[in-house]
Amino acid sequence: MNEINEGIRLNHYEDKKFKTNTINVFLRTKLTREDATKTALLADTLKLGCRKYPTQKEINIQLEKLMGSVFDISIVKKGGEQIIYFYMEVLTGESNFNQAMDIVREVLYRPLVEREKFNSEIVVKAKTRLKEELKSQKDSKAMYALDRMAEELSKNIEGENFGIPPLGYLEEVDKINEHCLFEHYNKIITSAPIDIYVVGKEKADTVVNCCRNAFNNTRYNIKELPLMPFKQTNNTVKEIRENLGTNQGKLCVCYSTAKEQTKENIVTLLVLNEILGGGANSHLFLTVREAEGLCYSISSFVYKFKMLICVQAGINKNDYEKVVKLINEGIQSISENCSNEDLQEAKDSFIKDYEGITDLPTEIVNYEFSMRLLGINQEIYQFLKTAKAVTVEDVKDMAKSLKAEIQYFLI
Amino acid sequence: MGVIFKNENKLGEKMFITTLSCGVKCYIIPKYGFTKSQASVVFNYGSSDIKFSYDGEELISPKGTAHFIEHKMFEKENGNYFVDFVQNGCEANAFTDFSKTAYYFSGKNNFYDNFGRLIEMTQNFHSTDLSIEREKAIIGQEIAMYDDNADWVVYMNLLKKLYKNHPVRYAISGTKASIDNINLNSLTTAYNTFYVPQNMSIVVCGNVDYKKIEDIAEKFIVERPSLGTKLPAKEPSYISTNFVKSRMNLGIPTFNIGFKHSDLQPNIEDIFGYKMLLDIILGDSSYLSSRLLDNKAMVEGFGFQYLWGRDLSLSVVMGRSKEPRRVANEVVREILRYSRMGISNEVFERIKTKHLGRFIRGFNSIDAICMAQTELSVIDKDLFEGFNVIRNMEKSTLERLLSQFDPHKVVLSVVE
Repeated sequence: MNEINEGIRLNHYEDKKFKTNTINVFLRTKLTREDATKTALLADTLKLGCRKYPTQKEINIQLEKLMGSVFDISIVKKGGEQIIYFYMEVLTGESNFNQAMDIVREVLYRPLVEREKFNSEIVVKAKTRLKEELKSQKDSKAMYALDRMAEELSKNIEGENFGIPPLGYLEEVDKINEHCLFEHYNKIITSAPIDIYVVGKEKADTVVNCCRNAFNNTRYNIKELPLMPFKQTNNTVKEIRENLGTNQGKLCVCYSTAKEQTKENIVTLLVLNEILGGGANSHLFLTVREAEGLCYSISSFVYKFKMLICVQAGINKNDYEKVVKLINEGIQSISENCSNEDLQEAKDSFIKDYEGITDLPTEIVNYEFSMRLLGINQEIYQFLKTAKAVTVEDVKDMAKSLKAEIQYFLI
Repeated sequence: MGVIFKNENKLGEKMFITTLSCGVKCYIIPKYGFTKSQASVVFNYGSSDIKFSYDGEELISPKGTAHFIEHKMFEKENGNYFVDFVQNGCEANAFTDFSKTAYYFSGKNNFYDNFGRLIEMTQNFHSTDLSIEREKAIIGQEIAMYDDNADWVVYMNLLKKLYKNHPVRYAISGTKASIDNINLNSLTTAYNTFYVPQNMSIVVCGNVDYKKIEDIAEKFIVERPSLGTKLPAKEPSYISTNFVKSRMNLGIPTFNIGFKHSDLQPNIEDIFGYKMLLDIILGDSSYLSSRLLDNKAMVEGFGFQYLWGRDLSLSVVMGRSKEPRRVANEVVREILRYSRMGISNEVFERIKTKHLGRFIRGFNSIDAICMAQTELSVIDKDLFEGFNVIRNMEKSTLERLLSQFDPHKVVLSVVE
């Protein structure tokens, strides 16, 4: 890792097997109610053009000329952070790399600005786009159910920002003008912690020099962002049923743990997740789907940054009680009867997934960046050692510590 | 039966194509430095193959049969192949589309064992009445899941209006009513007809020895003749309705515009040609796309797809808009304009460069290679042929394909 400018860290993974270089830039901000919409609007505004390429069409033409390079700017929510994510992928070669980095730099540092404000026309366009994105969020039912689950889970819990939607709020969009958006932009490029990940064939010297030149603006007042794990509540489980007229009910059940957010506990939670609903031989797949025929899709996953584990299933509306009961019994049964075989299978499958990370540039970046945010300084093989050390007792203990916080059902 | 070795210098990749004694073709693409390898077995049998002759008799399968077989293929006496793959360090899955069914797995450990397991799994069909009934409940939930997916609903509505008889108009997984007619006998009959070497090919990509792959495939494939043949549906060239709309209370309506083409046996040049042509006319750098985004008729650019199969050739344009009718009119008008004016050299060369770059980029991923070859193996072609088709593409080919877009054979499907 190289600190190439104040609060800007460059991580380079030279890997000769890839045909492309990927450049990943993460501009990190704290996810807050007041700034969420502004940050999302900023991402949309930057995407629409810059001084060198004033329209999206011109950016796209440039990408096509550059052997069909892929470029996108999106918003990512990781734990308590709202991140503006620049993704650029270009075929290998030093000249290609430099040209690709030039596009990233132009879009990020030379946007369409006039007299201390963003170009009004482009902000109007970005607002329309963001509003439409926000309006269509409920169109993808399973995703919407997860977002709503997070929102309901965090309601009335002081300081918990898990429920703030990554794209912000519809009613906030029109309150933002081109002046305050520019102010917000300036704040982010000068003081947001920035993490850059480059994966591909390019040599370290080229990458470091190129990034140093691109990210050379004045930086100050940079604050690292703290982790914000979810604190287990004493409340009884919250039950929310929302009617959107779906064909199939979308169920999300979320559990918190009383355990601390240590490396060991994160790994244990991930292993437990494999046993519970990680794949085709997991407890939930074999009981709820294969034995009972109650669903087609059921799986569990971990919000590492929040230390939450969530089960998601598409089920018949009348089977709600039955499925919730089976899920709870699943966790109960792991807490009492988790066997060495269960654990070994889960570890094998966990190891297999993590070993596969190095096969894809995006997976490498996702692993490295997530680990950095979690403060775990371990390469994959070291992390797997931690996983191998998990015992049956650890898993049982973790399962015992779980408490259902919310059962959200979209019908 | 013979091996063909191909070396594509411009891609920096190699491939072995071997033909087994039973006639099955294996496409083996060695890739080193990756953790996982992947293999797929593909059958030229998809959801559209519902009408066939069997032992001299004409039969029609219940809709959703190919997909149902795919689900049940993982079943075996006293167990489940899914679990076997996981316990042996790999992960398996499968998919069914309109014209094929593919089974695949990926992993690092016990690769050759698992490869044998993959082939073995497809070589006999085992199920029971009880498990078929249970599967109906699971697939019923899969159907319900798709019914909540607006992108899928808008697509299926489109196909229903574009095609009067071709079974592409039916959902791949069938309906709750149609799968109710499936039983052990109908599944076994379809299986015996279609799961035969003459309909099968194999794709392997990763750190593998082609000779071992060949030996294992030879060992596990059961040679047997098909007792039946596919029967085509008579499809008129015209369409009867050009508009269909459903309501799902969406924030922004989603639409598909479908063009029914008359070239029913597209070749590999056309397959890549259509993709480039659609990109030129409607892609992210196209005149129309930026104009519709500028005047806010659209929120994001178009998506597009060229769908081909047995007696099937159509282009689908997708997007989201509050004014789908206006957008559809503009799309048709733009295609007609290109038909009149032709394609500029500059745009053609640029899009060709892009498609070449994207093709090379695909070789970053074992899965992408495996899936792309799986697609092409159905028409007996390999990825290197695909690569060279793009390299040698002529503007005149795309201009010829423009004539396949008939303004009288367009359907607009909207979900609001």
